[in-house]
Amino acid sequence: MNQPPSRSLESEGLAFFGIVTASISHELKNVAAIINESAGLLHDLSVGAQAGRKPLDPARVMKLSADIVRNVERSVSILNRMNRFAHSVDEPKQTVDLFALCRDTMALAARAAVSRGIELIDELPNQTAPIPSFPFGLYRLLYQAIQIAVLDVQGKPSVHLSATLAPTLVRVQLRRDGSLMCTEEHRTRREAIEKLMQALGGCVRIDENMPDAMGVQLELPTS
Amino acid sequence: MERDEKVLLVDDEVEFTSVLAERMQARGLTVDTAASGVEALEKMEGGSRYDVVVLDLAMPGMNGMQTLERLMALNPDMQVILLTGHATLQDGIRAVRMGAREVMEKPADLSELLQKISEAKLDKIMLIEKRMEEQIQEILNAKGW
Repeated sequence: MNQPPSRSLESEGLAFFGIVTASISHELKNVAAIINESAGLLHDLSVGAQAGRKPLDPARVMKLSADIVRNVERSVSILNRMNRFAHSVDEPKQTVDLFALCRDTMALAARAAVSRGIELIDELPNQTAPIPSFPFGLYRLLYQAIQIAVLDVQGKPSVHLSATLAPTLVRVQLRRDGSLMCTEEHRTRREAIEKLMQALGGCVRIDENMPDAMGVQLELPTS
Repeated sequence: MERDEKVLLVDDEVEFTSVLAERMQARGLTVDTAASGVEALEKMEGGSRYDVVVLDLAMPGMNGMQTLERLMALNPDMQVILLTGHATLQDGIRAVRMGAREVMEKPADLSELLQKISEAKLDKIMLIEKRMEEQIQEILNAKGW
């Protein structure tokens, strides 16, 4: 972890930035759609009451208002995540809470996983894991690791993300049921992970020969 | 305008489908909802009939494209409108090639969606009538009339 990411990694990073921001914009559209319909229903109910067709039910109005507030909060949470991701390129190297970054990356990758019919399950420890690293590189590494874990899943469609914190290293593990078919996409992603890990000064192990499961293990130094 | 379309809304955002369904029902449509592609197919295979299916793309279990493929295999006359926050241009082209008639982005304007549902139902009726006419013509031809 002595060198910042190389120029080629940076140009590949631009493509990654595009994928993630597109995914975030799609998420926001979903939330906007719920707010739009809830506000529309409030309008419908008000028009109906004004016309004397049906009196306004205060409980119904309060529920719809609460739904709108909750979805505004959901959108703020997505925007905060986007903000943290966008600022990950500000400082090449800084102290990062790896577990928090793992959770952000899971959220960023969740819809892409869902599109493949796969659920991401958070089994990360409820603690912080500060490490000195390159946050944008970490986002890319973890995103690629999730992507490789969601490739060609057979069997139970879920990927479990867990981690352990030792004095000198943090170990992040992704595990899923269903063996891995070695495709071109898999090879490309594997190479990307290895290249990123080399730049980040850690090591990676991808267990792809287990009969009914596959796993990705990422080890990063804590100092 | 009196409306009588039967619509199935398929989306894992249950909050979205329940509110949209209520708004559509208030406008005279008969609306059913499904929280997944699997549930949608189960309803159709169980005998439920719809004029139009409004389908999301990104759903757990079976995604929108897979659901679309299965729906079209089950009923090639089915009118499917994709309503999604996740569509790219490529997704849209692929969906239309697979048989979807429209791709709409969330958040959608309700009157525009209702207009497209109305057009979809009319097209479905015309398709069925055309098919019936062809069958009648085949029978007449076979009998030499």
